[in-house]
Amino acid sequence: MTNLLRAAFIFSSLLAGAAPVCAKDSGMLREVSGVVQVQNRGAEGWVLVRRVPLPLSAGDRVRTGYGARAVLDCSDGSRLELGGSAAMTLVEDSRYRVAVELEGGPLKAEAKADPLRSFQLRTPAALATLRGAKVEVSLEVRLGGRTVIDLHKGLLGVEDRHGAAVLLHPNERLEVDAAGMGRADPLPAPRERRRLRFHELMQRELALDQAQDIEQSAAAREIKLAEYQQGKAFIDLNGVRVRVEEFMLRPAADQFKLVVLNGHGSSLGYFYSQGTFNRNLPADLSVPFSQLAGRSGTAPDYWLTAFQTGRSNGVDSVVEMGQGGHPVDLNGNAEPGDDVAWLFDRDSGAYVSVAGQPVFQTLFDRYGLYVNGGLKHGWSGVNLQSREAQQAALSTTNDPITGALLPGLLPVRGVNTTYPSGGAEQLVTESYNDGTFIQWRNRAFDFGGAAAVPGGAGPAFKAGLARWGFQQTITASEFGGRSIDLVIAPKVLLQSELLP
Amino acid sequence: MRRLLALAWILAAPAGAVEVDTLFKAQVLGGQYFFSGQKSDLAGNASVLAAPALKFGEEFALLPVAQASYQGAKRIVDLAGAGTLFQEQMDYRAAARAVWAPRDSPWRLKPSFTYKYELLKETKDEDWGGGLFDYQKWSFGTEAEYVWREPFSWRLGVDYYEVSFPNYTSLESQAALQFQGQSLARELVGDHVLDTQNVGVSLALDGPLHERVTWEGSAAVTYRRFPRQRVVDSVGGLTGDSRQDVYTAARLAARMPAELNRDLRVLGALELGFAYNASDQNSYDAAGVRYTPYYYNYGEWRLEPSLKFLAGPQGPGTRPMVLELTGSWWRRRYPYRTAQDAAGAYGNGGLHTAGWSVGANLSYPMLRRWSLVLDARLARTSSNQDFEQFYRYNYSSANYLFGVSYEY
Repeated sequence: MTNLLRAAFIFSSLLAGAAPVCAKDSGMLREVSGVVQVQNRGAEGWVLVRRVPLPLSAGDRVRTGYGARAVLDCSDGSRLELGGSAAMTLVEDSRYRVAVELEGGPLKAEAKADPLRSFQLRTPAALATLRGAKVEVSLEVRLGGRTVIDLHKGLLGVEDRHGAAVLLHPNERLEVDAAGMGRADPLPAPRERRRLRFHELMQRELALDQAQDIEQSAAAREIKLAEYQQGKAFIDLNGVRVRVEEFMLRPAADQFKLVVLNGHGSSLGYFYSQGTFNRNLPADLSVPFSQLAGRSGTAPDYWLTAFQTGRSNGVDSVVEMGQGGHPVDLNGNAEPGDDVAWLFDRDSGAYVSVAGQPVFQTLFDRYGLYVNGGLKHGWSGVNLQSREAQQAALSTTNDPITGALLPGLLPVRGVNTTYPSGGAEQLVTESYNDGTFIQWRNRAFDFGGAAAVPGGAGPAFKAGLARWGFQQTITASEFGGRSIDLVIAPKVLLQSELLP
Repeated sequence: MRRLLALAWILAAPAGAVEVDTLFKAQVLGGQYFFSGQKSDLAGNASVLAAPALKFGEEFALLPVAQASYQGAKRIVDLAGAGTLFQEQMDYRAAARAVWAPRDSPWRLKPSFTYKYELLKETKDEDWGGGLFDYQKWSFGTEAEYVWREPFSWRLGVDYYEVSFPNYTSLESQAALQFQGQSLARELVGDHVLDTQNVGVSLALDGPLHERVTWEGSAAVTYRRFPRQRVVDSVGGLTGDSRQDVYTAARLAARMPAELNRDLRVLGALELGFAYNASDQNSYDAAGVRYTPYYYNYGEWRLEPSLKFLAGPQGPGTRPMVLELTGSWWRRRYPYRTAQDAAGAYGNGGLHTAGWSVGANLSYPMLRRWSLVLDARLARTSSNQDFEQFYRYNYSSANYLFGVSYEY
C-alpha cells in the first residue's frame, strides 16, 4: 500500500513537473518591482527584467537594486522573495532538489516538504535545509558573509562551514559566519524588531551628530592653539592668566611705536616704546632695529634721536624720555669706564663679544625718568660723549626735557643691582636720598608658570632671558602698595638697552 | 507641499501616536595626566547623554539630544603645549536632528540644529563662565543621504555655524577706550576677533571594497570668516578687510573584520586623512619686526591604524569584552612660518610639527549595560621650532582613566 501511494505521488509529481505553470527543472520569475536584472548561466552581461513571468534555469542569477523586489516560484511550489540590494543564484531546480544560493542581501522563502526533493538555501557561511512539513524563513547575508536566519514557521536544519549543525525551531534566530554559528535565540516579535531597527537607526544618527560636533569644535581648538603659539595667552609666575598683544604703529615716517598690552584678569597694563630715528624708516624695520642696541666697527646708519617709553598698570606709570640722541664710539672715547664688552645681536638673540672694537651706541643729551608724572632722575647736556658725562650733567633744579623749574632740588639716586634666588631674577633698586625708591624685578619663567633660571649675571643673565618668558614687576614708593606687572618679549628690552 | 503638510500633521498628532526610544550614555572616570615629567593630581571626568528618539509613523523621526560633561583630568588630545597640568572643562550641548525617510525611497533628509556651550578653567583666577576661551557654538544645517546599498550610502551635507568666545575681546580694543587721553590702538582694531561665521559643505561615502573589507571616504570644505578680525598688512598695520579662511579636509578609511576563533573577533581599520587651511591673514611679529604672510596656512597628514578585539559570545543580547588598540601619526607643515631657534632668531626653513600617539581602551561588561572602562594613552610631539618661550612644541604627554560606563 505504501509503495502504491509512493508510486502515485511520484506520478503526480511528474505530472506537476510537466505543467506549464513552472517549467520542468526551472524556476519562474513571477513578480518584479524596481530594478531587477538576470544573468543567464554562462552569459557575461546582466539583462534588465522588463516582463514577467520569466523562466529561470539552473545557474541563472538574479539581482535587485535598492528598494527593488523579485518573486521567484520554483518547481516544487516553493516561493522565494528577494529583497532590495540582493543577489542570488538558482543553483538547482530539479525533481530531486531545489537549491538557491543567496550571495548578499535579504531573502524570504516559503516551502513545503516534498518527499522526493530536498529544499536548500545556501549562503557563504551556512547551508539551511527544510526539515518540517512547511517552512517560512527570512535570511539575510551581510558584510563578510555573515548570515542571519529568522525562522518563522517549520523546522530548518542549519550547518556551518565547519560541519556543526543545529535544528532551528519556529520563532528562532541564528547567526552564522565564517567562524561558525552562534546560539539560537528567540526571534524578536515584529514590534520588537521594528523597535530594534529604529534604535539602531537612531544610534547611527547619534554617531553622525557627535562626529559633526567634533569636527566643528576642532575649529575652536585651532583658534585657541594659534593664540597659544603666538604667546598671546599663558600663565605667569603667580599662576594667573596673562594675555599679551604686541603691535607696531608708525606715527611718522621716521618714527615707530611698539605697544605691548598685558591683561591680568580684569586689569590692563601696557608698555610702549616710541622712537624717532635720524632718518625716515623703510617698510622693513629689521635693519634699523638691528642697530638699536648699537653697532660695532662702524657708525650705525640708523640711530634714535629721541625716545619715550611708558609702563603702566592703568593707575601708576613709569615714563622714560630721551632727547638729543647721537652715536658715540664708547670704546674709543676718553672714558674707559663706559667701554662696551658685549653687544646684543638681534638676529641671533645672543650677546656677542665686542671688546676692543669700536662700538657705537646712542647717547642722549637729555634724559628724564618720571614716576606717576613726577621727575625722579635725569640729566641735561650738549653733545655728551660718554656715560660719565651724562652723570656729570645730572639735573637738580630744572626738568631736563621741558626745562621747567622744579619745586625743589631733585634727590640724589643710588642704584644697587643684585641677582638673588640663585640667579633666577635680577633686582635693581633705585634709592633716593629723599627716602623714596623704585625697584625693578626682572624674572624669567617658563610657559607653564614656573620660575626659570637664566643663569649668571650681567650679559649672561640678559642673554638667558631671551630664552624664557620675561616678567617685570615695578614697585615704587609713589605706588601706594600697587605694582606694575608686565610680561614683555625680552628682545624688545634687550635690543633697546632698556634693561640695566 | 503635501509632504510639508503631512509633516505638520504628524508633528501635531497626539502624543499617543508617537513612539519613543531613548538612547542613553553615561560615564564616570578618574585618572591622571602627565606632561613632560610632571603629573597632575588624581581627578575625575563625568559625562551624560540622553536622546529620546521620537518616531512619527514610518517616515519621520526626531532625535533630540541633551548632553553634559565635566572634565577634571586632562587628556592627551587636549591642547598641551601651553603647559598647564590644571584644566577643568564643562560642556553643555543640545541638538535636534530630524530624519525624513520617504517610504520605498533610498533618500533620507536630515535637517539639524545644535547649540553648545563650553566652559574652561585653566588658571587659578578663572571662574566658571569667566574662562578666556569659553565658547558658544550654534549651528543649523541639513544632510541628504542616499542609501545605495543597505547599509551603505553617500551623504551630502550643508551647515552654517557660528563660534563665539564671549570673554575674549582684544586688549587693543580695550586699550582704545581705557587709556586716558592717549590711544594706543590701531584705528581699525576689532573686539571679538576670534568669533567666526562658518559655512561647510561635506560629502561622505561608504561601501564594500571586498567581501570582508569596507571603505569610507569623506571630503569637506569650510569657508570661515572672522568678521571682527582685520587683515594685518606688511608693516604691522590693519587693513579694512576681515580675515577669511578656507579649510579643506579629506579622509579615507578601510575596515576589515576577521574571526580568530568562535569567541574572538578582530576589527582592523586604517584611516588616512589630509587637511589644508588657507587663510588670507598675515602676522607681524612686533618684537622681531618680521612680517609673515598667510600665517595661518597649514597642511596636515594623519594616519590612524586601529585594532578592536571582541572577546566572548557574539550576537544579539550578548556583550563581548572589547579591547581597542589605537595608533596615530600626524605631520603638520606651516608653509609660510619660519622655524626659530631657542632665543627666537628666525632660521631659513619652514616650520613643521609631527607627533604620534598610542592608546589602549578596555571595556569589560559587568551588569546589564554597565561596563568597566580602562583607558591609557601616550603621545609625543616634536617640531623643528626651538623657540618655546610661550608654547611648547616638543613634549611627551600621557594619561590614564578608569571607571564605569553605561550605554543603551
